[in-house]
Amino acid sequence: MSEKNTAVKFDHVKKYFTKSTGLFSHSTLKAVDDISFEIKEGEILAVVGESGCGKSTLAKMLCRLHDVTEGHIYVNGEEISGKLSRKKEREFRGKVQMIFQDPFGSLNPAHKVSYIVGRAVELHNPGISKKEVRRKVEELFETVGLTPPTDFMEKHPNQLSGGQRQRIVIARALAVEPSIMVADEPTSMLDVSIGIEIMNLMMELKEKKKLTYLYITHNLASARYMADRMVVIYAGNCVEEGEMEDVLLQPLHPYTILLLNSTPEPFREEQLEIHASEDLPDLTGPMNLCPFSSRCPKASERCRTQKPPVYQVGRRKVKCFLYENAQTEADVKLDAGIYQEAGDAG
Amino acid sequence: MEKEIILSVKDLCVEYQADRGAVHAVSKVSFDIHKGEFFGLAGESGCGKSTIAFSVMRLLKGAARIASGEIDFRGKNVLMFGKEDLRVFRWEKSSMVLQSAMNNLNPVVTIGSQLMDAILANEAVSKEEAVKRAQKLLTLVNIDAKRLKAYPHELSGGMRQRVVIAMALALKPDLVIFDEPTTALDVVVQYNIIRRIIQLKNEMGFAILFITHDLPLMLQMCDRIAIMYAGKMVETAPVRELMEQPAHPYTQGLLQSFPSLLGPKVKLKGIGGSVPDLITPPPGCLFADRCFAVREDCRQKVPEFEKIGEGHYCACCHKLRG
Amino acid sequence: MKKEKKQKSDSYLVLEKYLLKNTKAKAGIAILLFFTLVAVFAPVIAPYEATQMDFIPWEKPSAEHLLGVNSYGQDVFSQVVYGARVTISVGILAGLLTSFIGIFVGLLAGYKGGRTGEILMRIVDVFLVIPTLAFMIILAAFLPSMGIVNLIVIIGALNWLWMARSIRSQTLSEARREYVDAAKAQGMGTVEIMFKEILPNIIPVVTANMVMVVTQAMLTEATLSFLGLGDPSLISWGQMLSVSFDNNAILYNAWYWMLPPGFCIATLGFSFMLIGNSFLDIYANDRGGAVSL
Repeated sequence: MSEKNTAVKFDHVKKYFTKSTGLFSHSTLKAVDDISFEIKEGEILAVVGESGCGKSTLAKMLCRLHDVTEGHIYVNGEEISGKLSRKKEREFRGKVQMIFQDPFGSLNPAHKVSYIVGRAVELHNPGISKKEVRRKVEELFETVGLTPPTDFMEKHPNQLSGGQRQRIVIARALAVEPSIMVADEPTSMLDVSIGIEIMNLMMELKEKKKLTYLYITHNLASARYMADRMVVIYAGNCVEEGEMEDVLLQPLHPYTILLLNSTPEPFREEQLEIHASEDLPDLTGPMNLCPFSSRCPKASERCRTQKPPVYQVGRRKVKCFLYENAQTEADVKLDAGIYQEAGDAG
Repeated sequence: MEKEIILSVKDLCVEYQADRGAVHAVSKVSFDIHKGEFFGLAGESGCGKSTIAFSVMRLLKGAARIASGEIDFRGKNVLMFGKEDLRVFRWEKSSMVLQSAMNNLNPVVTIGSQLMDAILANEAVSKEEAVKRAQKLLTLVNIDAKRLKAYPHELSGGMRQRVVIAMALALKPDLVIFDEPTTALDVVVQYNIIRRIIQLKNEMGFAILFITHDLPLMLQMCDRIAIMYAGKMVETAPVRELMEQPAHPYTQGLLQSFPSLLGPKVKLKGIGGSVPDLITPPPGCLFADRCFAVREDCRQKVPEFEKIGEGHYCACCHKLRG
Repeated sequence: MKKEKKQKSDSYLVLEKYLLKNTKAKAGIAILLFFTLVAVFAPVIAPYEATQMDFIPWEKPSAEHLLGVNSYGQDVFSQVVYGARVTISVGILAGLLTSFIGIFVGLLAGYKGGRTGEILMRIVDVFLVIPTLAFMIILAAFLPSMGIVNLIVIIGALNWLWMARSIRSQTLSEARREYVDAAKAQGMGTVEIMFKEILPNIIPVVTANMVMVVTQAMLTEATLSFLGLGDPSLISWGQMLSVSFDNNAILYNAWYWMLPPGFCIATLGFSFMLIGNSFLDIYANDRGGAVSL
């Protein structure tokens, strides 16, 4: 849509975990199954999905904390999945950083916060003097709103509140001056009034430091608040991708429709009765079917025997056979009504 | 006509004994719940909302104790109940569903026998009768009656939470307390469960005390909402009124903290600062330090919880209405 | 709770939390301190040289010889006092060696996991099924001499197995915490993550284990000496037991020769157990508690 450069590219990425189920048998858990999307420079892309859908695995693969089973991940055009040389690895760590979900677990309780942030500075500026490290740490603390820094420097993580810890986590990530930030549910463990401040801080930093975000969340409303574009994940599959407002105003995939209508929203005019099965997708089952077919009111025989490809519908991408022949969003009319027809919940 | 008051809490104060002194977890909280009402109690972590639930059920443990106040259930003071009264009260008159309840089902006993135990322990019915009742209870919460023989681990989290709700409804209580019943569940499951709870409420006529930090959920589901902050109730109002004309700055701040899914997209402010120390609370309004509309007298005068409209109460010295 | 203690240093807080507030720990430390003082001030405390053979054999305890005299005409009390030196130093040095290997293997196996961890643990398993004591006896029999250094090395090198296991399992659970992921994302190396990130968080378990292996090392030294595999010229409590047994102390009713060293070994071992148990108690109760380590 624009001439902006691609910051991150997921190219048919798969992540399978094998777990042994017996002495000689094992099953394959398809945490991420064939996901492709791009993040443009300076963009915030939200990845939305329910727990266990593979969105955290996605984040960890981008941060090289998990390796990729199949497919490729590119950062600024360079492949970062697979083995990297020491030098490349270091370069990569200076480019992509992560903000973790749990501000209580992601800071080492054994260290003072000044050490935690200072160590990150040291790692990426070898040979830097102690004084310089301290100056940088103070600067970082100020950047993330922990002022005056001296009030916080000598504290251990457990002496800080959840919001303050998350600011430390952000400061640590910023310490290496990255261009890409992966935020894995950064506010889900915080109180909302604190969480919104963290989100505001992240957006502020995006402008100030020219950051690109991969924002992972289960909360559609927070995705809307933060992001420009959204990817909806279901059972390791990217079922819908599009501009935020497009998806929210007219969701295309039956799962997006279900998710959107289940999200609490006081501004919604009418409360729809939704009859949807709560069966969780079987991530270890066969692959040649639409993972949502077991819950989808519109599922046909084909959905259960064939995996739908990605269809381009207008500005959007949808992984659903219903859109096989659709040219624009208006061609197939689906709404929450599909869940009101007789169905058995539970 | 006013509906019958099921639960009436008056000036409830609860303290926790800590090393440094008493933590005023709940102070001077009053509210009524009417028959068949869906009453929501909202607030952020540590505001005392769960403590109220546990106080009502007389389930406070350890260092916590009710310092003063009154809890009346249909005109009888719960705090005066003896052992037998309590037993009857806890199962037959009121019940409670906790967030973690779904993980507290006995893993080695089928859900059917756990449901039947709840019935048999409190009512003199035959075993066949109990089986029938258990089957009926399961269908109430949209689980196939055949699943009676299932063990907890064979059910998904949402289903287990439904079983717990079925148990809570087993003896047709007048009041059911839900303490974050769906926080650990996915939104689709949450939506289904809460819609079902509302249907059951309308069919069976029990009142609900619903506790959560998820304000959008509450605004969507409840009839009336109370907002708590630092152990105090700051505002109570019917849901529409609270949403459209919040009087307390904290309520306004809280409403300003939830991004909207479909409403206008605006920059949200959140609420800066943090909750004051509840062992040595500052004089005056506890919210003063974080309040955008704080004035001189806020730091001296403790605001009264006053009526400012029909069913609308607020504890702020400068109610920001209109 | 935190605020009023702010002026106290972190290390004091740790000390207070793990030691001073726990009766078991206090008792254990008191005993250990007592024996250490005895060992350090042995020349002052002991009335005679440990090897001095100037007295009447088999003399019963008296004011002159508090614990009597053994068959060689040596003062038993003086031997007990000097024996503390060897027993405690072997215990502590061998214990340290064991801990060093145990920590390293445990951390590596727990953190690296995968093939490295698997291989290391299989090695541990193999060694675990070999009866360690029998193995030591054979080793001791093959070595030309059994000086204190050999003793320490043999005991130290064969006792680390259980410790490695327990540290590995602790490391496994610690390695799953997000701060380890964060460290990796920062680009920290394996060694730094193992020793600077994970180790400080498992210190209570490490310490409890160290206490155990020190006890074990002391008892092993006593056992080896008792079996006559130690250095006969080194006087330790185990060696005393061994010699008394060889010289038919039981027949001569010389309880004063056998019981004191036995009692000392048991008490010292008990004190280490107390300390170790107290650590486990406290740590189990507050994983990730408020006090920083």
